[in-house]
Amino acid sequence: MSDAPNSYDVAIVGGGHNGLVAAALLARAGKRVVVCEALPSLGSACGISTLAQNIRAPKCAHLVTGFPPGLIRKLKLHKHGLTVLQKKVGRVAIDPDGRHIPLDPKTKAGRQAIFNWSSRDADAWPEFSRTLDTLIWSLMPAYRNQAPRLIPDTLQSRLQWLQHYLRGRRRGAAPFRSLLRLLPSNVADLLDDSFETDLLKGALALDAGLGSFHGPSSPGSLFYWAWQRASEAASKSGTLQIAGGPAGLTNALAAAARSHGADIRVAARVRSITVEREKACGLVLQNGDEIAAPIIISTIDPQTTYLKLLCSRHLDAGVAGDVRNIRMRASSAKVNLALERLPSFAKANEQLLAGRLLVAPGLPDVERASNGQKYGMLPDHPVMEVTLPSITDESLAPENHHVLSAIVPFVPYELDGGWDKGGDILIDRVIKTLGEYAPDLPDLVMAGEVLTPPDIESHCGVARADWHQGEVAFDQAMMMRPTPQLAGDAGPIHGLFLGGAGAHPGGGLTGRPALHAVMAAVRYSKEMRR
Amino acid sequence: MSQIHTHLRPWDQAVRPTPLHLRTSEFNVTNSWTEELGWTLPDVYQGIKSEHAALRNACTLSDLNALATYRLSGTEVRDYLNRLAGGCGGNVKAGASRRIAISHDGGGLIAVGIVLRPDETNWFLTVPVRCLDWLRLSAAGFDCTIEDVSQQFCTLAVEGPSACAALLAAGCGGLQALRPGGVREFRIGSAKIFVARLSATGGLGYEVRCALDDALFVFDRIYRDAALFRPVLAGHRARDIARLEAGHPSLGHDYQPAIHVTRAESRTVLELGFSSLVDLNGPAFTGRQALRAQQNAVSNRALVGLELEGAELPVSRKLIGPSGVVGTLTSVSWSPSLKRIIALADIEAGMLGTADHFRIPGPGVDTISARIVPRPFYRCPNALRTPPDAH
Repeated sequence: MSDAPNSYDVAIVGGGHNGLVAAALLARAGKRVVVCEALPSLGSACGISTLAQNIRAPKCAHLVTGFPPGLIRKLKLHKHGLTVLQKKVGRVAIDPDGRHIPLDPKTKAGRQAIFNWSSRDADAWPEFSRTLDTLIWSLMPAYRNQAPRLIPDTLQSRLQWLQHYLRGRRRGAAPFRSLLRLLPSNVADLLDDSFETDLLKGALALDAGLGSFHGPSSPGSLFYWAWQRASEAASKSGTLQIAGGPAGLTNALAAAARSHGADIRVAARVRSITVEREKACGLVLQNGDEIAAPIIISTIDPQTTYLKLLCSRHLDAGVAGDVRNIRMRASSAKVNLALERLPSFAKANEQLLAGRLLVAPGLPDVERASNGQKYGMLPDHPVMEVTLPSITDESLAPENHHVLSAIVPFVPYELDGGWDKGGDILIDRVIKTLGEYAPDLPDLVMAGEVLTPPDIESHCGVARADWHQGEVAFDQAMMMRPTPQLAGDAGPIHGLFLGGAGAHPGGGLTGRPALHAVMAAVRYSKEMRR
Repeated sequence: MSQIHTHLRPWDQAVRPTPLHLRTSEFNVTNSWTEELGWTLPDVYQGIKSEHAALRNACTLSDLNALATYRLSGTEVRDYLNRLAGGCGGNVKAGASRRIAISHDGGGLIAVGIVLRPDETNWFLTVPVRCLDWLRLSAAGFDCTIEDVSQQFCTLAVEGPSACAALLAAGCGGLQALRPGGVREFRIGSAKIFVARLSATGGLGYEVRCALDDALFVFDRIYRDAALFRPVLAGHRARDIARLEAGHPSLGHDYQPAIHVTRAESRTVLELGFSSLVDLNGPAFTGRQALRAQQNAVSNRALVGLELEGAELPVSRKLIGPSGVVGTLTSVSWSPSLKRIIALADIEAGMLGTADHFRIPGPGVDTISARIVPRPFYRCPNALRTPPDAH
């Protein structure tokens, strides 16, 4: 290791939560680490917006789902300013008339709320929850661990495959058959088979489609849902609400990394990754600075990493073609509103409103909302996941004032006719839709912002506003993520690892892709020393 | 009762004439045709024996239009070709050509082609398979544009010991100074041609390219002016035999393009004996990782040359070794030059060094004995001489 000022053991591209997790872990292990973030602030999708004086809202992501509690303890994030306000934030199917349904499979209140709609659905709810659990837990080993190689050409990878098969069969032949039948299937069929209540089906379908390009009737949508639920279930704390929004998490991670000596640079856009004799050897920044490092962890999307920073000429032509064909199209928009007071949702108390409010009247409404984006159109009646984080987080707004954060899925990246007026149209539709649930809400809006998909890309650095950096589908998941040839640490350039959402196991504020990249980097570092 | 056709018969196929079809059909006494890359080409003009004899002893003209020709342009053609073909495919000087091996990601050979660089600015790539998709896929990230110009040029081969003299007579003054692999522009009458000293048949040979409109004129002038050397038109079959004698694996027989077959059916440059066409320690190229892995491990298959005893062609393609069937004959023919039967065989690489004698089922109950011999089977010193010996 050289002691030159721009010489490090590990250089990390991207200062989002994955980049910071990798930086904190490697710096803690005694490595000299540098993080290069292109934007002027850290956090990527975990930023915070100021809507009005003293009123702030989570800029993009509003909750932290699936972040491992072990990582919080290991990096002592509480010591570095992390405050968890709520664990296991629940979902609520919100109803204009006040017959809301808390979607918790284990509480009696949830079942009772469903019973108020349909006794048949209340009876079906436990069985449905068990089916969903079977799907989730069968995917869990693949989710948590490094995926085995697609072509099992070594004894180790054959054993890994055998292990996965045996885990799948552990619960018996019938659940295994059901698993194989359901995984490639779609959400709408499962919901239609299980329930008759529109509100329940709509809320579950919306939950299943958040962050996806496909509506609930699309084949493979059930796999996506199970995979997303597995990411939540993989953490004992489930979904967290952090003081200051998810920015609180990235601030704590940055502080932890800095406390171990990591050099974190903002407004330091990487121009290229330098390679010599098939080994990564550093970065060149846009301002011309050169950073020498034998290990590079890129947490930005695989297409930018391999085709722009690395240049496709270092890859086999077929691999470069596959990288170019990675589907990145699941874009969402974000609407943040500053409210004079808490809006009046019928028969909803603060405890209920502190959860994730799923605004979707029925299954066909979710399907219809998902249709427009295929043709570059906005949904006429948007469905959305809404949170009111200021209920539990007083730091976001002064007393009595509140902020509302809404993730609106199925919003196209390229809008037919352009985005000049699209943002205003979208925010009007969102406020109008919310007004159907809380009639006073339109009058309470003091300020608001809409982040269209192009805004999310430019302000938060999320390529094509796809927080998964590549659709999570059967052909782009596990051992095929981002492509079969580049999955795991088997890339063509030694010392270059993917540690962002584009790598296994995918997007969300889980930090797991970074964990895998760190493990691969440590293994590589040991090999280099030998 | 009418017969139901379950597969395409030769007479069902539409003729797709090459630019030289008017002449080749005139000379094709046997009316025997074959199809290559969709083009209708003469299989045998008068007789394989006489055509082969002319190829080895006099002068032949052949229609080579069943080659896909691509024009490459841009500032990074050299880098592009290096990445496309073995890390060294772009190392071609102006006025020269180079044989290149285009491999797939998994190391499987797509085709062996020729890069021609008549001058500083023009680059052409000729390959015996259509692979524009693959070429364009490989061009992403390079300033290199690929255009299919197969139908803008006419290509004919002038081969045999008198090939140089024949072209000199046709007006290609100074051709004798052209080294093997060299490319040079000439004029025949008003037609501009460029001549490359290349031959797949193992002897002295030239590939002549001209604009489509000049095709018949150039053919007629060469045929007329070289009359002293009695040029013979050589068909597909005679050239195939000569190619086998030269030990060149033939696409479609000895290997299949890796983009058209499964990984198990494809063969790598190392397995086919083209290792000189790749530089595993040079710049990055498609398939290098797979080839290195194969180099460090043991190749699964190997293509070897065989000499068979006797004059009877085998009835089966199975190659039997001490432990049973160890491979398959991919090409086999009576060699008029060597006066024996020669073959190429795809065998298990593990057999190399352990056994060099095999048996092949022959006619009747007998088996034919075969032994591995080095390739090429037939060497022609004149192929490499500059100036070539005059005949």
